[in-house]
Amino acid sequence: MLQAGSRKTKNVVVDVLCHFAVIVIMVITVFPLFWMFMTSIKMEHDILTLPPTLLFEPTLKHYYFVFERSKFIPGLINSLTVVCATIAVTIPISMLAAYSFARFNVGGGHLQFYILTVRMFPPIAAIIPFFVIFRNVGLLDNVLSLVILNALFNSPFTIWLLYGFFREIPLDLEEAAMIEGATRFGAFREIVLPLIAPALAVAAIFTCLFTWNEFLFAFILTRSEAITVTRVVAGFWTERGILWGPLSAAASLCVVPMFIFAMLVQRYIVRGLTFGAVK
Amino acid sequence: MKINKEKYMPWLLVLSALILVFGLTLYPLFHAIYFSARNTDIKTGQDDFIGLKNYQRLLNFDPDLADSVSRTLMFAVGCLSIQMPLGLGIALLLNREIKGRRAFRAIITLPLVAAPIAIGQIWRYMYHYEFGVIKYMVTLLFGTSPNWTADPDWALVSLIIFDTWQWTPFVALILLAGLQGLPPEPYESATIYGASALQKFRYITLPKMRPLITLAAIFRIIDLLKTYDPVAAITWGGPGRATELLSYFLYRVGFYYFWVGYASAISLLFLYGVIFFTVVALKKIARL
Amino acid sequence: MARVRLENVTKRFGDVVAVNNLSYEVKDKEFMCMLGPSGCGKTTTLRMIAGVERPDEGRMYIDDLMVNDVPSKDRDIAMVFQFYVMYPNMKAFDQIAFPLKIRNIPKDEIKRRVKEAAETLGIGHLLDKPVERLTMGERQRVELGRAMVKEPKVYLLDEPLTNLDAKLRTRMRAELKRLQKKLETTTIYVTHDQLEAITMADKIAVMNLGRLLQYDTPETIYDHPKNLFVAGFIGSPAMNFIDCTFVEKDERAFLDAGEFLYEITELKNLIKEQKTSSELVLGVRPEHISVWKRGVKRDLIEAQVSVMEPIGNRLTLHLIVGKRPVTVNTHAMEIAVGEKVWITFDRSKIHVFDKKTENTII
Repeated sequence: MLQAGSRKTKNVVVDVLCHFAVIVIMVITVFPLFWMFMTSIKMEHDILTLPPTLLFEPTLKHYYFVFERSKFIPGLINSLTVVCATIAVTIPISMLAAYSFARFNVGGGHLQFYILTVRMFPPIAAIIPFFVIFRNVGLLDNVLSLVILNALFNSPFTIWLLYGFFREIPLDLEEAAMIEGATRFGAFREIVLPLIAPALAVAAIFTCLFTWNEFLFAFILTRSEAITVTRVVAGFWTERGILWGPLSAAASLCVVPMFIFAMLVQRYIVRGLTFGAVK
Repeated sequence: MKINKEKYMPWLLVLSALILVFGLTLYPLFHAIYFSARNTDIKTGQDDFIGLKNYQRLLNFDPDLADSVSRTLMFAVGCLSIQMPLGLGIALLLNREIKGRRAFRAIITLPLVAAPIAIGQIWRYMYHYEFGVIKYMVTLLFGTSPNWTADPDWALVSLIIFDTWQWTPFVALILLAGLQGLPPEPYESATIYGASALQKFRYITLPKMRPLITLAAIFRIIDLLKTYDPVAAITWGGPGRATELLSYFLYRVGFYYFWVGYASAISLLFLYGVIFFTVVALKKIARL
Repeated sequence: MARVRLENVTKRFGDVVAVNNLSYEVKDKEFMCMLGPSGCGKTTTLRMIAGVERPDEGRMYIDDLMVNDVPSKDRDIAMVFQFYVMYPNMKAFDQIAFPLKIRNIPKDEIKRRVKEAAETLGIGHLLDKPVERLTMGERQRVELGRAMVKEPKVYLLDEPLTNLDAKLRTRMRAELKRLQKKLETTTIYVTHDQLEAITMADKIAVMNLGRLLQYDTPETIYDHPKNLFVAGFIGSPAMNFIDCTFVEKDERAFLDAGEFLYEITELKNLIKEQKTSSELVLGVRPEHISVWKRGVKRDLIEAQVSVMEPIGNRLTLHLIVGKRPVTVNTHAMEIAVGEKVWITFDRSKIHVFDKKTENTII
């Protein structure tokens, strides 16, 4: 029975270590976010001080600053616009494209490679030609240019996601409906669409995340009219130095909506990440 | 008539979608090719055909470009070699029956959804050579600490740490899904035949997870080579040029110096480089 | 020496009692079969013996050593899974060699043992093939090989033949039996196929809903089932069950089945002693019924032919007695669907069950 005893203690030790590791990882993960919030409510002298303070007198002045003195509100509106518009454009088009790949086998199976290749395209490289065009057409500093670019760069992923989902749906369902007299379009709408709805949700969620967090395009293509939240967050660099207080506040405001969103749809996020990965 | 419409309508829709997608994604490629053969200055409107001069400049060992490329590779390799094992470890951890498992999984999603430009700047503050909390804590633990983003030797490491913080959960979540899909029977059988936990990991878990690990690695490699936001948020390519990764270098060439032609040439080679390295890495990992 | 003994073993999953107070003993070198429908607890019991699950109550012994707390690898057992476990990316040779490789047994020894096992199983020529290219039957044998090289005291087999096609299954049944006799090792075999159990086992443990219903040799179980479930589970085609009531008239006793009256005066006292009510079930196997084309003898029951299944020189007839279906297995005869026939039961082979307790009276 000595053997059974040692096995038990070994299990217990491993267990404790695992729990400990989990705690450590959680702390490391959360700490920067925690620090961000903390900084956003500290007075300047608490921010620019050594050692870093944990106890201090909180203040909301940085948030006031962000809302009143910076372009946060217009940025917010623009970001929301871009996100919604991008989703509205990307999802239907991706859906149609994915459907055609899945059903009509356009491009003969090279789809995967194509998608991967487009994904490999560095955004910075794509921007240059678009910058030139938009400038010539007068679309610089316009929300539309952002929508186009974001739609472009999110399409590969959403198409791939939806393509995988479409492939899972047996052709028989649509064929049965068409025998019953429905048009292909009608069959699609009545039967396939409800089945694909969760996948569309996942695609929309990811598009929303990527577009809201997107910085490079906004940085290059906007000046003052169409700036987004991400651009505003990056705008606290002054000659006097970086305004850490307002920056933290703006960063918090930028990041919190996505946190809440992510918590709500967490299940879908995980599914989207792992889908197609777990073929 | 009805038959004709019903036949063509869906095709039309699909075709338009395809045109948009293919067109918009292939357009930059052609445009880049076009521009790479010209010497365009956006400001002055100058536009001459200079043939392959841009590529010449490239291949004549532009030292800045070469440095940038090697830096980017170091960055990618550094990140990958940490994030993959760490991600696997976290996935294994999450796979156990631990209390608060769901909360744990929810929390590690957070770094992934935080805008890099936003949280990156917070890290910049945390790395601050005077007031940064990271510097402070490291000094507490080890007695001394590098100046992180202000130190050319450590700046790249700062970025690696940041990227690891943000993207390891991605690897972990993908691998976790894989682990959860593994059937229990091989493990039971191995237990009966006396395999230790390590042997089970080596002979059952690892081989079965190989395709998924490869996939996660590919996703990471592609994204790592394209990294831009963290550089813009944390180091601005500095100190000096110490963290000027390829994307950032390209940005400076194209939008700071406005050497559009040169930038286009670099972009194209960048693209091929990414493809090439991804394929190479794919083969290497698949063989591991 | 390898005896396996279970005493009052119980296992629960939440509210469900998967194994309920199970006790039996398997003697050395015996081939014991746990037989029952899905969910009866047989696989759970096997897994407990293997050490993959732990019993909530009760004790298990292998060779008089209580093994409840002994880890699987120290129990000297080997288990063959239902869906043959194949470790990833290994050739057949490595699959079989796995238990030995883990214990760091020298390479030549491994080679020798694996080759030996493979020869015995007839797969010696397949050792270098990756498992993806083997047929199901071959994979099953690879897994058997893996169990064999460990040279355990007890073999545990979990429905190994269920996933094979019928022909292969018949062949493998004979082979397994031959193998077991040759290896002279105690074997515990789980299945839901009563034919397998009857043809292979030395002893059968019939289980249902976690309980052991009968533990006997195949012949005993077939001829003297202890209760309704066992009687109906064993034998194909299944035993005919006819609900009836016990009726006494004057000095005689009858089983009133509605459509007919069956006299059982000679068994009257025996039945009266054991029955709990007058509701009984008359059981008679299809091969113990005789079919007559003319109604001349007494004791004849009228029936009509509904379906015929001729196989070689045997004939399975599905008859309708009044409204009840009755199956008969008899020698081939000239007969047509819809024809009226008369049947008798072999008196020495009938069974009478108490409807409420489901126990056998006769």
